[in-house]
Amino acid sequence: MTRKQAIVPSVYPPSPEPPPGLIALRRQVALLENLPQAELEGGKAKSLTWGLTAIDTHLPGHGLMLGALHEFAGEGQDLEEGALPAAAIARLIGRLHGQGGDGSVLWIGRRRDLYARALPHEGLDPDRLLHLQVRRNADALWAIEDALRCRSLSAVVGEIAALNLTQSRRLQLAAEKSGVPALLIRRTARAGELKNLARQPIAAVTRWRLCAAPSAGIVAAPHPILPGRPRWRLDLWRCRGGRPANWFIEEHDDGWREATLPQPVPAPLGDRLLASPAEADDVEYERAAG
Amino acid sequence: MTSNTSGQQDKIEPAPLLLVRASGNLRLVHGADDIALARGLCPGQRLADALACVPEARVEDADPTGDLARLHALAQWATRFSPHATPDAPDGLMIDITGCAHLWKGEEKLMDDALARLTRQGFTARAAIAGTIGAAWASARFGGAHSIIPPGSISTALQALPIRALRLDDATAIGLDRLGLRRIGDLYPLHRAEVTKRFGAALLTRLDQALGYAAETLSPLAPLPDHRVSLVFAEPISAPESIARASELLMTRLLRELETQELGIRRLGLIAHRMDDESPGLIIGTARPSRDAKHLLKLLAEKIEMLDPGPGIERMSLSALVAEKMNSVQADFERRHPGLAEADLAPLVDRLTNRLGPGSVTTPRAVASHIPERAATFAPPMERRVPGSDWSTDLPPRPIRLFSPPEPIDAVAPVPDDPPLSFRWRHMQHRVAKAEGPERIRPEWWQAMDDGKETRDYYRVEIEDGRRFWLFRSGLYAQDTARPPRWFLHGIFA
Repeated sequence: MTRKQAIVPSVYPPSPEPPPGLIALRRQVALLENLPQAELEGGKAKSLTWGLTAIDTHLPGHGLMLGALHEFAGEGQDLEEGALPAAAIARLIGRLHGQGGDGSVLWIGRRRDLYARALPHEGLDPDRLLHLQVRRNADALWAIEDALRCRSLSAVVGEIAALNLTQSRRLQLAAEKSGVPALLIRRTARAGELKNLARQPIAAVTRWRLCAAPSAGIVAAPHPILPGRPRWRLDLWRCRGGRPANWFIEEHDDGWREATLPQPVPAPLGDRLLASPAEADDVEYERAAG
Repeated sequence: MTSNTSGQQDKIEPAPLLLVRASGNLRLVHGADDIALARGLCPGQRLADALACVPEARVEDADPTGDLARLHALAQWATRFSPHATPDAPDGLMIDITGCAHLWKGEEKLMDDALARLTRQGFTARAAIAGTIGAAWASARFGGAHSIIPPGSISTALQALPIRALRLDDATAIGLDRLGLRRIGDLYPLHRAEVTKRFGAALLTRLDQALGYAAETLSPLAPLPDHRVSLVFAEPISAPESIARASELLMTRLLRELETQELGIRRLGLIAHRMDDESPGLIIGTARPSRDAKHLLKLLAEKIEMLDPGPGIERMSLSALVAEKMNSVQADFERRHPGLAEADLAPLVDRLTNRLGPGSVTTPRAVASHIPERAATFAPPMERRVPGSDWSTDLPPRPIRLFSPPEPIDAVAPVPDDPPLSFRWRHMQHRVAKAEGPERIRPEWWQAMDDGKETRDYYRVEIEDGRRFWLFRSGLYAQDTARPPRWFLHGIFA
């Protein structure tokens, strides 16, 4: 039941005014779990939002809370480049700026291959970006922690290879203290290595896995098939105070939307979006089938 | 006043020591210690000849680079006498002590102090003080021990010195010797035109420089800071707290000085003169001119941890290496830098830059260029934007990650301008499922060397698993089949 609600929110929309007793209870739970209460107290939205109701309502606090650590990783070869995580983060921060958030973004990484010309497309103003190039992973960790103390930043983005529980806890505490979100991109030169590293537990509030999916394609003779709107599989792998879930999203001019599948699916086996046998009993099929 | 000290490494060893250098196929004596010199050996001799005379000599390789580095360090050390100190390769130091001697209560005491300190470091040194660089050079090397030439008597003091004391090259010195001109004084009565005709202008220039008729300046080791304060301690300090306290005192004094001139610090240098005559230093920089003592001290503190006090620091000096006018900050009219305008970002940028190196913090800057890798560069933060640079564009989508340089790939594509069917990148074969293009990008005509070869056709391709890449073909398929166009992967789309 709950799972279904998370995935198909249009069927069970969140009730606009929950009973007062429930609000008090939620606040108490939020206090215990150290979750953002702005949403509950009717204040200004204090979170990074995807702009997609299905995802945002699924997350506790209706978005990725500020003042917390969030981890993003690509899959397969994208672990080497971190293209999808970079675009997702740029868009999340761009939305924050659009909602009146001020301050610059500090982007920390070992390679300076973020292409500023692509950022306006994601909604992030390149003039509000500061890039820090570091030589070692340890330097990046130090810089992220130091930068998180600076309240005038709107976000700190770090491209990190190895990260252990203690290190991540330090970052989480620093973020909590200043209210600046820390967004990590897991990235290393050897994807095989990171696959194991990225599975280790860390003290992040949310951990996201992003993966490109084939687009619908536009058939336009005499050309071969043109690429359609980019599609991603968005996988919320870990979420403190929430449930793991995944979505299949498509980029539109006005932001992300949930993608519809190109063809009707005859059977669960017929629409293997991701050929990963390890996740055979995934929720994806539930949605696809129903 | 110019003082000139020449030093040579002193070794007290029972067996004579020879340093050798290679010169073509020969091994020549580069340097010899006192014992060897006393036994008749001299630098420049062949090693074989030298060993024939003194078979028990110890032979070691000379290290000219190391010597030079040491001399440089010594010049740094010599800034304790005057900020104008410079190494005079291969074996000398020049110090301009104009206006400094009174601090030692006289030139003689200053020279004695310098020689005593050099001796303590294990150098054999000779020194001289004279009104010109040439005269000081000559009398330090060829004059009596520790001579001070009073003003007005340079020509008298130099006339008995050998002609080589004029810093001449070998050919001139030998030529003069042949003519029987062996002392500097021998040149005085000669007709200037005749001398120039015979030996060129260099000889008379040297003579004039020595006698003070021609100007010669000394270029100091480092540009002299306009604002420098220093503190001499009664007792050498080494505790971190004392160093911190001293730098605080210095900072207060320096900032007071800068405040009167409305200057702020961009680069700050701290030098610690130690008991063992080493003088380690450190430099910090700031993104914008600053007079915030707390912030500057914090930046210093991070580096002071790495400063080795050794046996103790007897003197510390703090200088504003680069100081800039501090203008009262005016808000950006167009508010195009809403974030950067905030003052509290500058300290963070300074901290990161000082720890991770200059140039590590940058901000993207739009450049009006068609070439993708040139269209966006990373520039130092906190600088005024170049007018006309603009991020808005009506170009097709650009990749979020751009490789610089582009990575070469093996692509299979129909001729002449179809997108590739498959390509091999980083040892992996990818089949193209969907593709869009070409988008032709040519270099600007004033940049292009060969328009045809440098034209790029970009394709946006989607491979079977949905990932999107930006590929381009460099050059066109043309008659020149010997050099087919090459394919590159330039970026990754999200």
